[in-house]
Amino acid sequence: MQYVNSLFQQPRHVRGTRILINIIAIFLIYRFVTEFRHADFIYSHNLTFSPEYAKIGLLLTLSSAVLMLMGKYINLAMIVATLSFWYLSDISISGDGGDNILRLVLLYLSFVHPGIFKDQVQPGLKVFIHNVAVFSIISQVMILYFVAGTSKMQGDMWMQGTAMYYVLSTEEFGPASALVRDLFKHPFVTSFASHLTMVYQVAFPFMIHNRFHLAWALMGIVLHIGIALTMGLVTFSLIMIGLILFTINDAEWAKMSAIWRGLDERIRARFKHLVQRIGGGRTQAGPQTSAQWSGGRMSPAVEE
Amino acid sequence: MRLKAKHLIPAGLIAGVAIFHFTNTSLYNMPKNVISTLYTFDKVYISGFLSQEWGMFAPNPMDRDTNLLVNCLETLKKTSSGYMNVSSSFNELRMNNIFMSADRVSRVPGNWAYLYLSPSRWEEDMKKQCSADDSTSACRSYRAVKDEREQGALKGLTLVASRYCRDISSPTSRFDKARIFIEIVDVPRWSDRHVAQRPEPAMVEVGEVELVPVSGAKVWH
Repeated sequence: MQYVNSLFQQPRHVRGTRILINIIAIFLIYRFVTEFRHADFIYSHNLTFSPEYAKIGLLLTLSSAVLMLMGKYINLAMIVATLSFWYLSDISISGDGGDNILRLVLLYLSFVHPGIFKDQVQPGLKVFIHNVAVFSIISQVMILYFVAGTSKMQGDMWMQGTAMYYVLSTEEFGPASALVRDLFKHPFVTSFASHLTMVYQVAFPFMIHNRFHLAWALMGIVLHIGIALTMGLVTFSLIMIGLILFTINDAEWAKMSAIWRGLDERIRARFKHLVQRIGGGRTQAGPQTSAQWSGGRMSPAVEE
Repeated sequence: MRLKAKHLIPAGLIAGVAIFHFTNTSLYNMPKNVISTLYTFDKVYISGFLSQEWGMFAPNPMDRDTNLLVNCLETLKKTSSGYMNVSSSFNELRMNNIFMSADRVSRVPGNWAYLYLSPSRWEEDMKKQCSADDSTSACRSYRAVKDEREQGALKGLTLVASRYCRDISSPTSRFDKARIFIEIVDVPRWSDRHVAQRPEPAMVEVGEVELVPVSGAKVWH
């Protein structure tokens, strides 16, 4: 009962939700900028198509993205983005897995607590609804990865480890660099990349609630940056990185912040120490610099 | 905070909806199994807005390029533009700069061509049933689905050809028809990966289509 009670008290994945919403906003703005000019070509699905609707759809996604970045009217922004993005992806042949997951995630995000952007959250049913939305997104991402991974296990190219060679040798998904293409002709490289992708996807649901989750998330981010750079799937990778960051819970973000603060303090202390040592060393042996000499008087460091 | 009935009842309903949704989502995404033969509501539920496909280069990734070749025709003057690969130039642009519209633009001709050639997972299953006995209702359904896919893809290919022919037309040449081919170029097999030459392409003739009026900025310059 205590657990159920906590679902009404504390919204989960607050930081992850904010990050995901910001990444979605960047995604929608990027799509608007790169697609508006050719909207009537990209979003044309039949011979009686009205291109104006696609442009209106893109403008609506842009306006909702602006609201998302501002953190205002977040539920309205999500509903508008859900409907317009659904319409756009429905009339386009150029969609990918990133568009598909975004369509569903936008729907779930329509139920997030609007107070998370202002840290004004009152316990109650709205918090519970927010938490159900959070669990829904995580469940959907788990299904996505698990199905993608287990489906790959049925393919001989993935099992043999040659899948990455084949896909990167096509003109559609291959990189411009001949060096990268040649690199994937090496058995170790293509096998490592193919098997790692498969293992990552299959294991993803089992890594969400364990102590190696942060390392797994980092690995996923590196994997998706690799996909963006080699295969050119920029928008897909962006949204997947956003979803991986979303799976990091608030306690993990706090832990990372603490590690970062500790690291930052240590670096600052080391740097300060180094500057003092260099400063001290110069007074003993090095030449006097203009910074150490001011108004005909030695600076305190030199006087010491 | 003490939980009251006014909280618990709607919360229970919301949780019930979420459980129902994810049960159906999970069943829909599972491979064919004993439950899927008994329970088919998930196929109806996960469609339209909730449609999802998480294959993502599975079971095997793409190992070929599907290029669209278009020859614009001017029937009155009996002239033509000559065949042009309308997909490859965009692939080159995309490769040189991944942060540009060429990515989505290049997917349009390629994906229509791919759709024309490739049956879906469901269509493949129907085809298997059909190969056993071609007089069954499953076989009729398969043919209907196949025709629908090819006709839909043909409309898309017509739009691409119309736009391409409009973009390359000049005041003296107004194309009214186009002949379309799909070129399939396989990636060299793993054992031939160091061979510089790619295998001979295979050609699929889509046919001659009437061009339709299109609007918007030029795509092919």
